[in-house]
Amino acid sequence: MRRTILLAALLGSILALVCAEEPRYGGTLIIGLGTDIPIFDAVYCSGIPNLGIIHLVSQGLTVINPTGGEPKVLPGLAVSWEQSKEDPRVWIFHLRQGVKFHDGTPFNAEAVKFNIERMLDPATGALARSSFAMIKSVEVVDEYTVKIITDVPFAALPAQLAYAPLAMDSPSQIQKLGNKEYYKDPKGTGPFKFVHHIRGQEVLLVANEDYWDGRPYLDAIVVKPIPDTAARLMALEAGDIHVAYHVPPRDAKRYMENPGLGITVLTPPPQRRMFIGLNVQWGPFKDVRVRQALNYAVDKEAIVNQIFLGLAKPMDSPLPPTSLCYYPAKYYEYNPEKAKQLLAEAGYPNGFEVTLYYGPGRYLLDTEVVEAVQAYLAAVGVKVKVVPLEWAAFQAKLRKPLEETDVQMFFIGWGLPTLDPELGVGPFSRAAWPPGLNNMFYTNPTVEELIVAQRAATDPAERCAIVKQLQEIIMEDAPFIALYYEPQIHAVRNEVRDFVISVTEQIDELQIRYTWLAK
Amino acid sequence: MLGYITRRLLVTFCVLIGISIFSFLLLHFVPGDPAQLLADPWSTKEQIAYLRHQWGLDRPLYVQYAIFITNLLRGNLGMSIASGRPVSVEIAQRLPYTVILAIAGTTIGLLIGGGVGIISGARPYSLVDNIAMVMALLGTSLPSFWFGLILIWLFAVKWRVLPSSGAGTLAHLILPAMTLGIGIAAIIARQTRSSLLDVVRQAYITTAYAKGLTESAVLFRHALRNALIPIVTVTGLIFGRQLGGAVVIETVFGWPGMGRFLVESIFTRDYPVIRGALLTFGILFALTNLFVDLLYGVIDPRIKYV
Repeated sequence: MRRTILLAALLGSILALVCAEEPRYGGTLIIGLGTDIPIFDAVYCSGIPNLGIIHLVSQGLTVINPTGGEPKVLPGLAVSWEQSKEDPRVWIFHLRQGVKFHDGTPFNAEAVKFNIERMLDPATGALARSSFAMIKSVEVVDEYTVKIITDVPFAALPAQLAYAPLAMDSPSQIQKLGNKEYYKDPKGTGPFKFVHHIRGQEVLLVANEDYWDGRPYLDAIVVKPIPDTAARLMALEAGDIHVAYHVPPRDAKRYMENPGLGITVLTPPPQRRMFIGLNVQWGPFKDVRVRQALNYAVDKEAIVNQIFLGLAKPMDSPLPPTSLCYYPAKYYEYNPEKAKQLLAEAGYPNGFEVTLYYGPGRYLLDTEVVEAVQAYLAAVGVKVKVVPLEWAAFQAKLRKPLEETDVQMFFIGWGLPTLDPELGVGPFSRAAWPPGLNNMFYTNPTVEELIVAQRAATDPAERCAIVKQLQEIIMEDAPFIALYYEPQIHAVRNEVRDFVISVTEQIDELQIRYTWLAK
Repeated sequence: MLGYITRRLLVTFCVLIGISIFSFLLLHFVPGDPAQLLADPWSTKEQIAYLRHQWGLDRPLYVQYAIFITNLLRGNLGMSIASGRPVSVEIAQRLPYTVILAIAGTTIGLLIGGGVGIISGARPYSLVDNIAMVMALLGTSLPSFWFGLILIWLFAVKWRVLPSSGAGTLAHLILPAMTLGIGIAAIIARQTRSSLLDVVRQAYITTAYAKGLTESAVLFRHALRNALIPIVTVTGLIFGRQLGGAVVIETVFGWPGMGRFLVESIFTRDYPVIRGALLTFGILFALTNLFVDLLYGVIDPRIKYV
């Protein structure tokens, strides 16, 4: 028996040796994005895919696991970290040693302190400053140890530090060029060095020969903005680009069914929750039975299969499946009879009229989804008037306080690039009412308590137990019609090997060093 | 002549003041507070107020306008909210692409459209004319994004002779310029034909033929010259409009011009950029019109500047 296993193992490894292709050095990887990178400085840049390109040059202290699996947070420029047992507001981060920025400046605790303080300084004007506002101070312990102190115990800190707007840039280069001019010649620690960014045209990066994890296989990376989806896909098929971001499901199917095109579809795990928010302070939505009824009235399976061709997954928790502590709390199966019964119990046997706002074009196939929901709700007597708004106008409406709002229903997607429940369930609190994210004006005393409790929980198991309860209560309270998790669909040419787009929508900043071109 | 130019310049100046006031006020009529839109979704009221103050959005309107004009005279169009870079730098990076595309597209349009229009006008209601006019009708009705995608599919995907998108080399310019040029050609062809048809009915054309001149001499020396005014007007307007950027074509071909830039800025509510871009378009359009007005005199000496 043992001999057979040994023999099989031997055969297996020989086979693996013969079949495995040897990665080769050289070549330029060309990436087609839907937008131009606004500015090559993470502090001022918006859009996660854009920030992902910046992170090939300027890396994070921590990195979110690209597969969405456990552990959720991987070491980046910080190799390990621990939360103080005595004072849970204190975190110690141990840094990677011997790393240098592209201008030769050593990466150390001083550099970490400098970069976090740059993010927090109001004078910097960082777009995502408030996402790091829980950090009270940063202290240098020694060359490669840094102490970060938060204002309240904050279990999500390691995940939060992976959030793309925070990147480690050379302090001496920032001082040399000045805060606002730094984008012209950024110096990070990443596998690629910045060469130029011709606005609207291309970003050029070249391999960092001295990268701490060894020289990348690729010689260079070019990033091109091609806003038109059809044109982006034609560029991919023509071989003008190797990677196309954001592919519609129909084209993804076409690539899957025609291997002759030489294109592979990438579907990194999802983290964006797509739902119809319900203003729980408005008319019929004050009654939880009405909100549950609407959940039963919509056929999520049909939306996922017909509109997304099976590439999406129905939503069964306020957290995405990739989140830490995710628990499939409740799935509202399609049951129009039950919906009608609940509506009748709540005093709306003949339904009611309601207005739904949304900003078309922001999310994949959003108009199709909204129209499907409208039809399902009409079938149980709820007449939805759909009002499409330009994105900025839509956002402006959502930011209105309760006294001024006329929002009854809205279609939106919440991303969770940190895969941490903090930002996942945090917005379901009173504190997040507009101008915050909680446009449902939802609040529940138990939920409020549990949100604070999970933040302070130092034991991961204890924290997940609290978050599980939160997911169950929120699904039961249904301040929304839970729809689906938005799929990420991208495409690469087959000659690109070992290329990974992360659950966060960023190109994985650690894996890219191992990406290579077969021809 | 000099008085005319001075007067035209004065009018142009007034137009520009109008444009600046209009573009300034326009943005305050649309819904949405830029400070709130730009801030992180988790921002507190204080943080939003801070951003608003930082960008001067909390000052009275007239103060904001006065600051704007003063800076403008110093060549300072402000900083882009989205990128934090000077608006003048951002525009200077994109304007050349828009101008190149506008010149290339208009030239193609003028050559094809003018040629077809002259042939059609010279042989009205002939087979050639009928075919040309059907083509022109198609050219004006086909949406440019569709035509652009067809060109990309043929030249980049199928034959692989031209790049599918981007800018930088002459090869990159061909497809967008063709797409733009075909649309323009269709308009110019129809204009040239009808303008020429008006002229060939005039008595002096009959006289020219009676003198025994050849057809080409009559056509080019007598007819076309008199038919030019409306053609120049239309071409000038088209060219001026192209300087505002060809949004659809720039999007389809990934061309880094002004049109796409303005649209992106509108979506992100980048106030200083929208203002700067509108002002640039205004200046260029006014100058193009001025140039066309002056050109009339060269084409038709009967036009006197009094």
